[in-house]
Amino acid sequence: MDLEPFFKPKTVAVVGASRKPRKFGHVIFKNFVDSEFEGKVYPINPEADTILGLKAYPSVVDVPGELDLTVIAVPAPKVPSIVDDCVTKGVKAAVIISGGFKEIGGEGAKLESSIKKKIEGSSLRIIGPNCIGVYDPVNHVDTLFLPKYRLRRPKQGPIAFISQSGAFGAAVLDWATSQEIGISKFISIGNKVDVDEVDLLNYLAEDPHTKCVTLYVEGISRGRAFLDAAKKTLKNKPVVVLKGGMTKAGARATMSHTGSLAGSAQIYEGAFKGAGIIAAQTVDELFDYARALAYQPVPGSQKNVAIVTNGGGFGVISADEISRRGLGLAEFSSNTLDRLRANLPDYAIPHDPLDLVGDADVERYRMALDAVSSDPNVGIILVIVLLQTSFIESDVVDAISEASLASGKPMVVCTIGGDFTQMLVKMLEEDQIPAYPTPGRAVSAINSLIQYRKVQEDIERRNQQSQVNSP
Amino acid sequence: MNECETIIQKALQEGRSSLLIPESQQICTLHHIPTPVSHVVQNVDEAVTKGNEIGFPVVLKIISPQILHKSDVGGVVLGIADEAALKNAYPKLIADVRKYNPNAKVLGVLIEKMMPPSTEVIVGGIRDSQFGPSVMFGMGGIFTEVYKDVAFRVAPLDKIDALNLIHELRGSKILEGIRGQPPADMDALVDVLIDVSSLMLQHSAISQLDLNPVIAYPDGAVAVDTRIVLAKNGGGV
Repeated sequence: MDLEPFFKPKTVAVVGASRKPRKFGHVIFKNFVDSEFEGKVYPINPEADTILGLKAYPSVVDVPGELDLTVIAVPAPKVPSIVDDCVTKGVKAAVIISGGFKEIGGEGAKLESSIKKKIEGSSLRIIGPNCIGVYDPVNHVDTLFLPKYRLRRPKQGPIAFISQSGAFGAAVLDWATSQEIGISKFISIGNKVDVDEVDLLNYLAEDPHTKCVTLYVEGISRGRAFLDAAKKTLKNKPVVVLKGGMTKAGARATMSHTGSLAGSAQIYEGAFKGAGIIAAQTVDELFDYARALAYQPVPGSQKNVAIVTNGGGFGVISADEISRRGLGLAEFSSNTLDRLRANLPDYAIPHDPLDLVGDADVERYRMALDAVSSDPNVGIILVIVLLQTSFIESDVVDAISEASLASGKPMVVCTIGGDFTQMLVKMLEEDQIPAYPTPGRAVSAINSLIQYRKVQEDIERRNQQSQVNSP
Repeated sequence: MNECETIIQKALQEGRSSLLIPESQQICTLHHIPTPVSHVVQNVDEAVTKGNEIGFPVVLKIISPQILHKSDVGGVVLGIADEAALKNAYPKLIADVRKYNPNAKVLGVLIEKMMPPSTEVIVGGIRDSQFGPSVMFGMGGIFTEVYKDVAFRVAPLDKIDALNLIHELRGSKILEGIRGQPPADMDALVDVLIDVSSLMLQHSAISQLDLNPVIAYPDGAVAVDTRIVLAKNGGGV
């Protein structure tokens, strides 16, 4: 894998490492020094002897031995000569943090195309410029120039996140940390002088730490290659994309009816659907879907949803949301009905949505979740648990987690409330049970699981057809 | 060079940005897309002969490189019921077109079989700057005009893609048969979509294509009007 040195470098140089604590180069260098990164880190600064006690080198070419990754954080006009040095040295990967390139036009654009020329025919791969680079909690690679007290780093988890915008990426990482959401890799791709979303998708398709790939993109440079990379990735893991700039009307000559109807948003939508990419319309949806898809199993052929709730209203609203999306509620089997009737109080009516009523305790949840999730007529379980009643304690999290593991069926939770609820949401997150604050968001997440199941069914049908067609 | 490319290259050499209706129809035929039986005629007598051969009712369409939107200028006459009506319609068609554009070069008139009514859909092709050749499917008439009930896929399409595309439309229920109507021939629609997909992939000079409408029957589907727009520079993504 030619992108491996970005994520698993043994040696890293930071160009622009400075003794001044507010400089980007200093923050990046310090992040490596302070972290559990196991490789060697070299500060590159022609005007310093040592930085943070480590010997500084005037240029990457002066560093002894091989250099896998170089992080470049110096003003744009100085970058091309550093890229030259990297090529001379045989550096495998470089992240150019610096801005002041294509995004400002004119001289900046010229600098960027000069960099593109310099790496042609060399083995150096570049992420950026104009980006915040890479964060990999598995190998402790962290090129983010924002100090950790401002931008907390998420723990390791199954979701990879690629962002064209650095600021959006940074904000999402900070938020993800606060929600106990884990990340396998984060990559901010900036101006994409070399490495783009296609390269990264191809790499993440094979990454054993990633179970779901999320992307925020504004423009896709290689449309068809992107769709091919997505299709390849989707065989093993879902891809969720939030595409910015959808509402801008595409400039198009309209000599045909088709031309007048083909806005860029419509084509993107069709292209994504055709490839099996799950499209998120909002920032919420991007991670709502990713958490369900990364944490929970893909549904089986049975796609009907069972709702288990201790609040009638939320159950009814969830049932509405399910029917609004064209999904189905479950028809409980007679076994399930018998078991529910035997174990529920007389005032609880055993049908879907299953209202365990307000005095439901953890034992009642345990019984109901076991009964419902072992029912062959149930494909997916939506657990609504409102924690404002005094009957429910925090071990409801264990009841849900255990039922989820035992059933092998996807399970998502809907719960809303203050500090106590938030604490339980984080505990659920730890156990990889995604929880959502509203029925609408929970059911949308369920819908993304069903969408991915349908993508898998299409892949399966195509495989069967090609087996039939081949001699 | 295959027959389709010969037609396209000839049009490009003549500086045209779209194909004439018989040319569009021929390209469709070569790509197995059903179109009504038709003939090019040069005068009313020829029209009468061909009309009797095809069988009434028939349709007349003006053939002129200067007239892209035929129906806006009286360049299409539908539902000509018999020989007498055809004899009246033919000179009127020529006169109406002349009145609209005295300089329009009339290369002939297309006479074709008037297809019986059924559910109308629209199939389109477009070369997108980001994703290249793509296919559109929409429910015809008001569903497209008002509700924009259309959806796209990037070519190539296989049967699974084509069926998913059809079922993505809100109006696809109509094709499944409602209010006692028989369902439309889905296989025929799937074939049209796959054929348009391969047509767009094969001919890079085609920038936009309309089959509008395609009439969906319980057995078969026919593209009753076709428009093919060429890229001026002769090709795209």
